[in-house]
Amino acid sequence: MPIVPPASARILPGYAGHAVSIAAQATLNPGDSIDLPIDALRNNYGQPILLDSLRWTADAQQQVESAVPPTAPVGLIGRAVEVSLALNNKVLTGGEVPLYVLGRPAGLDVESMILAVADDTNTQMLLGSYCSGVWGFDHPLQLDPGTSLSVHLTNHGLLNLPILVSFAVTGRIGAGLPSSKWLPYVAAFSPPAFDPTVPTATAPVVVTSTERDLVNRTGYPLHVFRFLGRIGRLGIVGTNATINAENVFPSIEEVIGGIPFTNFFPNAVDASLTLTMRDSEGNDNIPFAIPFRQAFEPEMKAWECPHIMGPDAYFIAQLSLAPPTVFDQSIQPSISLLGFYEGA
Amino acid sequence: MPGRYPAPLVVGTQVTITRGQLIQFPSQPLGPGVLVPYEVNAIRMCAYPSVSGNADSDLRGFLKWQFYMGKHPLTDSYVPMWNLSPNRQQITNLGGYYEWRFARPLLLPPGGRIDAKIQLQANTPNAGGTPTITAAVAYAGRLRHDLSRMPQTIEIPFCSCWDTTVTGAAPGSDPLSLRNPLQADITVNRFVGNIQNDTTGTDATNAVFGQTLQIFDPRGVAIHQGGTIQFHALFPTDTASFPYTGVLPMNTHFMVRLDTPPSATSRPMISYLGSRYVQNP
Repeated sequence: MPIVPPASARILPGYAGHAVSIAAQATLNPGDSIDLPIDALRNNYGQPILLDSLRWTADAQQQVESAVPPTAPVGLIGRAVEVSLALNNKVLTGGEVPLYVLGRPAGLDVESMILAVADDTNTQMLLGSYCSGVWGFDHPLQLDPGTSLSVHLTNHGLLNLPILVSFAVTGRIGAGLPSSKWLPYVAAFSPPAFDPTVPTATAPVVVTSTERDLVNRTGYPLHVFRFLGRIGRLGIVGTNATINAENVFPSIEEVIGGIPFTNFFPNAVDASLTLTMRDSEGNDNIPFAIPFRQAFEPEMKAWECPHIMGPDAYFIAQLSLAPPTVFDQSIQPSISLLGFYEGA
Repeated sequence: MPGRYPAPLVVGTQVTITRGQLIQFPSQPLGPGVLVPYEVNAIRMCAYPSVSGNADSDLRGFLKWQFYMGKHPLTDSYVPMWNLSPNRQQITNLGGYYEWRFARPLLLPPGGRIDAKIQLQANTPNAGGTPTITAAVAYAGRLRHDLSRMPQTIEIPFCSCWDTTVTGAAPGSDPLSLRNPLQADITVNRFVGNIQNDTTGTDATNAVFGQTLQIFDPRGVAIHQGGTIQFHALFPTDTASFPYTGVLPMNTHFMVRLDTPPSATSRPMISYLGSRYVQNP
């Protein structure tokens, strides 16, 4: 039986309870789609817990022999692993959603995933990357004694590596806590990555979400707080390239051959990816195509727009990629809506 | 059938512009296209040069924006892009992306629209391999199906800037800068200050940011009452702004006094952000 620490007046005085965290982790090989054990994120404390956040990490560190290890950290986009969450028979996600659409990133300027780092003395590769995030709940989620969060995880194989995924839920525990009937909810649209191997300015690549993507599956009115829009960039980087810049990465041929890199100005990629959106209520939410980052501002990758969605209501988003020239990387967009419903 | 709840809305469009030009964005994509009230919470601006090699965009002080809602201006003439919002993280540096978040939503009547114009300074350096800039604007807000009628008054944001574009300009602002040209008092909530090196488009040097200045309110009272203050102490690097609470009455203005005249390598731009109430247009 876990030991509940003594009360401390320094922990949110007036709100009662003690700080508590429950963690679980699993390793997924490419293509794996697994359930976490049902007792992994269970409240075994005998008292109700009010959860205020869910934290995650995904780690795919692995090195292949090379004389020139990477000198800068490389990123793993949260699209590499998808998750579905439920509490008892209540859904917290609309099907599987990418990990990195669960919460607003803080302090994240550029998101990218390096598939390989070129060693300029030979063509050996170094692989490895890492990412993490926090889904801060706008309302606390109540986890009653004996109940657990159900978690299903899928490694889509964007990296041909096993990925160690860790979760931790944090909150407060105590008999005197107020109760909460609010449940968080996320639904997402995450199409396959654009692969612009030829300029598509005259024939844009277009993908459209369906009624099953950005949908309210809760059965209750959903209080949507925000949308998130993420762009993962899958590229190859050389030892001389600056990865923390919003440039298109050079191709591996350019790196090895010593050819000057092709660089694009900040926003060039975002501006080539445009978005329109409408909803099932007949509203044109984004009636005219706008650059991706004009909808989801780059500071928090978010579009704050509090509103209410009825049960089974949905949004249809249409993404169009029309780069002016060849990009040496793939573009992986994801859009999610985050909200709460009173359904517990 | 439209819902009875507010619905998300983002409208926007983009244009290309070259040095020395002045362009108005097409109006039609800047409205929702349906006759319902809507609110705008933020104006998002984005600009980047055409694809080229490695030059820095640095459009923040050279690309200037004007916004107006019918006869109600949101800006006093043209305001440099980076003077419409405090800096936030890295995104607001080196050209690129800026967002003017309103303190409170701007409510527009059915059919209402915020029009936008931009001008690109003729001496803009490093504007890409070809002198073409793509500029995009978007308004983020909500459709307000839930409003059966407009309120009697609405709050409209406003920004006025002292832009020392002319090299060798006077070290003090004039009554036509940082003014209130409106027929209503303006509640000011923030000052934004930046200095640009006009020859390169980059930030001015640390020594330049160390120059001292003083800002006087409409009554002639110094805002920093301890005397002059260094520029980067008043406008710290991380936000380039400081919060201010005050009212700028009609036909009055703030006054800035720099101890060092502007030059080609030191071009200060100082603006205030505020709002006023007007009768429902």
